[in-house]
Amino acid sequence: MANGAPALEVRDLRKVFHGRRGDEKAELVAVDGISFSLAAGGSLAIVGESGSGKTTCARMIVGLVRPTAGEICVLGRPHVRGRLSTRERRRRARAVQIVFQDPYVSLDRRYRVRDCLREALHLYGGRDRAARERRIDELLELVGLDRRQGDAFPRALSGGQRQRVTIARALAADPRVLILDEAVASLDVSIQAQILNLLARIRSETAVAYLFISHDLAVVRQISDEVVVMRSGCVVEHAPTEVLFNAPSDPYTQRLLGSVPRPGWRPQRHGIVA
Amino acid sequence: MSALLELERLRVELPVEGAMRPVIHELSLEIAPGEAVGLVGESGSGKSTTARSVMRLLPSGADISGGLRFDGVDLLGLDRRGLREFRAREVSMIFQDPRAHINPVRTIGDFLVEVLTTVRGERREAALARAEEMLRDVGITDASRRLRQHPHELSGGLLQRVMIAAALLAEPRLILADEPSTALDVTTQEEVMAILDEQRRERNVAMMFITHDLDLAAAVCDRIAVMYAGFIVEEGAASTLHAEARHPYTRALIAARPDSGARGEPLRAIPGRPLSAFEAPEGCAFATRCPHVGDVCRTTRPPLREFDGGLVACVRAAEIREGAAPAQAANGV
Repeated sequence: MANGAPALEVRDLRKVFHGRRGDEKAELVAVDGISFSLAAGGSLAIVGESGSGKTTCARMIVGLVRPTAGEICVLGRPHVRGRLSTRERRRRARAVQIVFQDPYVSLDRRYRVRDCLREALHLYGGRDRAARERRIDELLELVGLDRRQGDAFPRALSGGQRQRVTIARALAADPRVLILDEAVASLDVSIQAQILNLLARIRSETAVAYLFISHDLAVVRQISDEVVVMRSGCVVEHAPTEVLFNAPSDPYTQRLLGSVPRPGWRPQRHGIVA
Repeated sequence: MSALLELERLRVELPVEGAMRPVIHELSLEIAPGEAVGLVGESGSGKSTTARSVMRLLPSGADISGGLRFDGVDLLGLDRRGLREFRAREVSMIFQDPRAHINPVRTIGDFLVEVLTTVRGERREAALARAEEMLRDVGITDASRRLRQHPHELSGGLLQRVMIAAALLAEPRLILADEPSTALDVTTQEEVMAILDEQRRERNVAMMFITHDLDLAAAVCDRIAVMYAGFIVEEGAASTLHAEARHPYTRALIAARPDSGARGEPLRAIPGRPLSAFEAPEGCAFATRCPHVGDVCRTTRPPLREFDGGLVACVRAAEIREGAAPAQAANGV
């Protein structure tokens, strides 16, 4: 690992999508030149509403979307531009993994949990068989799944358990950065709390860094050290979590925080047609 | 106070792989004219099924028993024609995903005037004028242009306002709102909920508001019923439920929220997962996850009874309030 280099650094990252509106060519600037850096073992959240560009940003970092401009460095090493070779893709995936929102679609229903983890280890591990099986047990233990659940198919698991599997699969590569794209958004409150606790414990035990993509401010407050607030592709505020929640400086951040239901809260009309 | 809507020991079963499975075990609830009642619960608790039972919108083969009355009329005894009248005149429903419930090939104007022209026999021009006025009431400024547009041209927040306008146009006495703001961004949610709340109050329409968000329900409702596994476990005034929750499930649900405690502290997660109604054990449905569980809880189903100005279905509620029922250390991770 590069000494002292941030786990992830993003500079002037930009993405323009080209499409058509009627007969005319249209451009959509999804991400408009954003920069941030994520320390090794740190936890940074990108918060924004739909269309803010937060997910496009995550997809560029894992390599699912090609940036229009800007630079992405993982462990101090810049991403090469242009088409990705399989080898380069694997190399990146070893360092950066992603967990998606919906574990019902991100798991292959024909794979038992152990097989799913075994495949991930086979791709990134290069270990001998016995070591791989031991690692599977470790991963199951880490995410709080028992042996019986390890032998189960996804259909036999609840939403919370499935999300534990996708987290274990992402951790199989032993990544330095884990991107969590709305990873707890579809879970019930009682289960969401379990997964948030699990994520906090994993970070303290493994020193993996989190890039947490979310629309939910309460969740972000719980999981992250720093928050980037995005709106229409731009960063409107970037601050330590405590500061952002106690003294937000940007009016949009204030509005976002003000619209979260809490005891004593009443919804207000602001007269903005979204 | 005579109830507008009355659910009396309502029980709903659905056929699953040939066997009937309970979705709602036993549910009693009243909503007075103009009153807003929140049904709060996690997935599978039966809150949406409750609303659909009132609309008689359950899948075929569903078995519904108990009492279900609207303004004294037995809804379970309505024939097709009576049901059509009831749905068109007395009650409106607002769904979570407006895109799935508005015909995509018809204009917003067509959608809004349909019930007025077909059921009420109003003339189209008059109905359109009313629709335009209603769109302005729900905060849509360029109403006449919107009437000519199709659903795909409107954002989710705008479309949900159209849904609210449609619900109000029928001048119902009851609105069933099933997670109407869940799919929306938080700032849009605030806007839409403010409009729904304000318009409903102005017109004195009663509401059954279904949500998983206790604080959101508290903000727009008079009373809240908390559901778990097909039962109401607690019911009380919306203004005091957060501070004075009495049922262990309600308390656990509040404590598990990420904004509840100090930052950096582990959350007080509820172990296990929410049970569906058909999985509910012999005794209290929450017994398998409850930190205060005692032997009696595993064998006896606790009735919903008056307690402390509200209703609670927990035999140990008094002990828990006095702090005499020690919580067992339970950590969900």
